[in-house]
Amino acid sequence: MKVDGKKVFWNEYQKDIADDQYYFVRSCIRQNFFPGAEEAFIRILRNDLGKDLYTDPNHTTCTGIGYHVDLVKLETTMTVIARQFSLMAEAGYHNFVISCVTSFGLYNEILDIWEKHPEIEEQVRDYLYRSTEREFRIPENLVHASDIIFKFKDQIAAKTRYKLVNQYTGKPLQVVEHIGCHYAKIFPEKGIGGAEHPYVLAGLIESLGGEVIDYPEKRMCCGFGFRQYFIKASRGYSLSCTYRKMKSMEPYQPDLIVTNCPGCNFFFDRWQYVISETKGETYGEEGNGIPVLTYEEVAALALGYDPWHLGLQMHQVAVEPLLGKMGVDYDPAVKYIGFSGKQLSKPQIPDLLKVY
Amino acid sequence: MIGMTDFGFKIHKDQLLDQDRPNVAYKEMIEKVPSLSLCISCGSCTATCNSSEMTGMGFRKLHLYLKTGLYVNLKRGLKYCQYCGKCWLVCPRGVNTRKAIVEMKRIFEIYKT
Amino acid sequence: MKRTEADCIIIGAGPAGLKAGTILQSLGYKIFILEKEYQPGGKLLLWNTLFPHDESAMEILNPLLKDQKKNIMTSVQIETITKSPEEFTVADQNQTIYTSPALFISTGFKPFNAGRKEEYGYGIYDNVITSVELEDKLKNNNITMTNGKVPGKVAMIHCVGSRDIKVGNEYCSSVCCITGIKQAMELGKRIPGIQVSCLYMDLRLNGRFYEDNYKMAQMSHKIQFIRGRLSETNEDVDGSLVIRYEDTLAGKPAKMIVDMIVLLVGMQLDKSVSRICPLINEQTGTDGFFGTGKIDFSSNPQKDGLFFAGACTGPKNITESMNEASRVAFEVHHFLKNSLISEIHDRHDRFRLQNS
Repeated sequence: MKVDGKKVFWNEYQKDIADDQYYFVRSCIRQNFFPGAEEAFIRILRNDLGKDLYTDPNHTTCTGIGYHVDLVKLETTMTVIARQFSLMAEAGYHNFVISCVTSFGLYNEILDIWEKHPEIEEQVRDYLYRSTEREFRIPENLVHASDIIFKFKDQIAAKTRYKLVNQYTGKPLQVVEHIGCHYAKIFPEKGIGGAEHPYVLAGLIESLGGEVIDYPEKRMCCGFGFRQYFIKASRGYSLSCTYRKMKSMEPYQPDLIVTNCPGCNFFFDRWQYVISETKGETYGEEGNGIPVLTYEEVAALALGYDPWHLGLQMHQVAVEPLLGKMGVDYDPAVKYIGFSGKQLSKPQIPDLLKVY
Repeated sequence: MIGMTDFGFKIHKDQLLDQDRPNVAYKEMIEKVPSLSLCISCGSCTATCNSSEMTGMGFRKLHLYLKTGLYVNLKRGLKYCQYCGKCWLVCPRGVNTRKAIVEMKRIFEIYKT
Repeated sequence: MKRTEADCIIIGAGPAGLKAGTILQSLGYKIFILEKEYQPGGKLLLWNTLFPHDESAMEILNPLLKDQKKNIMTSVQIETITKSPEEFTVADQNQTIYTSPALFISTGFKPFNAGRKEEYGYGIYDNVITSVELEDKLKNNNITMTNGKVPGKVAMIHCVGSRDIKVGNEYCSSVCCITGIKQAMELGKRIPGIQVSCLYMDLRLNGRFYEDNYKMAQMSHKIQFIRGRLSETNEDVDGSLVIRYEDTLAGKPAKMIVDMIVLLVGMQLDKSVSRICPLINEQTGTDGFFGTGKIDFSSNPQKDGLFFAGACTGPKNITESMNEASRVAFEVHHFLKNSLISEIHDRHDRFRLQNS
């Protein structure tokens, strides 16, 4: 492997990322699966970087999931997205930040359609006006939330309390980075580092002291695949895909998986448990899984946020081995005690995969 | 009277692709997605497809089914697409595979609205 | 400032330029062959043996070089090319001026930069090499991988940078299929037991004896021919390469683990001359090569003393390049003869005018 070879591509795929004043749209599923992740993003931007970030209670789903399983027509999706843009304008912002990778791909696709077919954009303007009496303006800058973390990665790295370095051995942690399909596969020029060798997460991991693993199935989908998961008859495909990826990364002994997509994060995490039950295999040390974190969770951990305040207890694969390696100061006893001080219900302990 | 005698065998329907039957769907598709006619069946799309590994399906086959009028196979195959966009990325002929799939789904009324 | 006059200046001392030089010299013309590299011979220098008869490249080149030795100027960086009604003026980096009524462009091709096919991993993974690099290994009889070992399994990838809209080269480079077969057989001869697979889109073996080579590759060397196009290269933990393609005849996606990948890179116009001279640049065809490629030569740009031959008028093998150079050399001859005749006529007319 020639690492310098990749830098050539990284230099080729750069993009404009606005400096401040962001209008933030959330992901449908992330808040349920990993409720702390988006919160961490907001806190890092506002408190650690001092940026203006607006979160709007009025925005809705982008319909990405419905669109990808053929439940929602493209025209409907376009109108919904036009409404989000009108909300942004109403709030007085120009820079659109998207939490979800599929939304990001879909927004870009629709902007591309409108650019190539202005008549469709006109039609959507009409749809939106007739249904809501709203008008919209196309954002000046539209990026994914991981792009913003990438932009400020050095600022974040300068403030960190912990590094992605194994405190027992002093060596960099071995990190698998996984990019959601819709981040750059549709529009390579919209992704930092392009679609084949993306740099958006690799750059963050390097800044935090970790080392990125390049394994054979790296560019393959996490397994979620919308139809593969949502239709129960084909759910096995989703599991098989993740299994393939886990087997492929296993020889590299990763300490951590970082993703920038809600689905990827969820399926790497949850399917590790299902694989342990169906195949009897676990991929971390001594029966542990490989912890799966989002980019904000990694950044927040490094900045010294409390892992339980980040909601890391909501991950099925236990994060404790990672916290140990990073040397994070945390209290194991309060893992399942909520913000209110009440004891949350504890998960059942599976036979194989270690859970603490 | 026909069918009175059972010989134990019958006249079968042949397996030929009938290229004389008008292929309305293909004609419509070529109009909507002109780049489709550039396909040279190299298979890059299938090789990189997320769902091909499990299903054996891929864009090259979908296009072939459409072109040869094997609509039943086509409809079955269309179900597996995840719209990840990778086939579009690797296509050396610049076929807009993503749009082609959306349009095929429209033609075969896979959208239920 | 040094000033040199000639009947024809030939730019590019590859097979086409040298062949044209030989012919024009034998017809009694004074010529110069300008070469930008320090060694004349063009791309023939990169090659060890030539298809379809395994002739030595040096044995083809040496007689041409010997013949033209005194006419060749090497390490010439042309800075300007200008044209007056009578002649072309070429100036190099040392302010040496060459003038001649005819200018013969035989600047040849540039191998496609394989790094532009990001998914193929050239420049990133060890042991992903181009056909040019393999030929160099064959020349030095040192076919090893980066770890010093001899490869046991090799995949030859056809059509790299050819017939590819994404990289802007829509044409077929015409010689890569047969080059791949020649090199595959060469590997078979030198490394006993080696397994070589050729991954092709269409096999285009349109030259005399090419089909014989194909048959020999199948029969004597057991080269495997697979109809499928590479879509992704990845490196495994042991350094082997995992490639992904569809076996389009079997109708199934496929993967293969190999030790080495050879990318059969296509041809692109070498733009070093057209970049500095608008008159020459104007003659670029829609495919990026010079001329129109029409059967009717009169529609070709070979008028006003400007002539083109060799791989700069489209992908060609050595035979085709030299054949074209010979034909065009005779066109140069006609041009020079006609201009000589008209000059004599002019002189005669002037003489008569003076004496009438």
